Amino acid sequence: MSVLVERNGAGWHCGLVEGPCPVVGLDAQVSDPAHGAIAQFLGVVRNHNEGLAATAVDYDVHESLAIQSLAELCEELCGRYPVRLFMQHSKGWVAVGEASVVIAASSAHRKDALAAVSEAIDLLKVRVPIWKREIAPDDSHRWLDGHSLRSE
Amino acid sequence: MAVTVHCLGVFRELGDSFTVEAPMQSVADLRAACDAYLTAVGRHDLVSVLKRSVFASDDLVLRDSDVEIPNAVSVLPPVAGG
Repeated sequence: MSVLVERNGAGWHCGLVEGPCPVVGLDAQVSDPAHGAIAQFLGVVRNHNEGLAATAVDYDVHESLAIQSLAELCEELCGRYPVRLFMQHSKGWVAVGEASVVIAASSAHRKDALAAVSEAIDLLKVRVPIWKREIAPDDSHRWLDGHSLRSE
Repeated sequence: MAVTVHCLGVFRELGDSFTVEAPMQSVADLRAACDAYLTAVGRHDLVSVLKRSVFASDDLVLRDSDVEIPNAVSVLPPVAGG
């Protein structure tokens, strides 16, 4: 794993990494002595999708826009919830069982951390310019459909 | 005007990029030029994806009404991160 690009702000950090996201030590990214709750979400590549078998997902990313979008998302969520927030997403090949996205949030009490993590993954899926190329066991592939960024 | 369109997501099936050349007053004209290109190369499936796609510079998603068109843009199909 190598970090491709990252951004920091007041109480948040986000980044894009080559390959799978590290999942160990995620809690330390948001630990705070004033916070009694840490919530985490790991998005992991599964071995099936829409009735078809899969062995990996190859993630395509518009790096400069994606990191900008992730940073705006962190700013927005940290403005809405009193949390520390960490978000990281993969670019490139991620095999079944490996994490393609990791999110952690800490807060004084659990509700804010849980809400921030839940909202973060929901918004990431519809805002951040990332695409999935799903790999089948016979090495064929297909691009998965997603959410249009077009508002006009 | 010639514009290089960098491909992302499913548009990578066309290669890393393609170039369209046409009179363009706005991003809407760029969209029309790309539509014509995709039709000419027989990718009618991508014509329908293009309708749900946006164009972007390195740091900005463009709107069809924008009149400043960079010499190079990216075409962003519907996103599917996570």
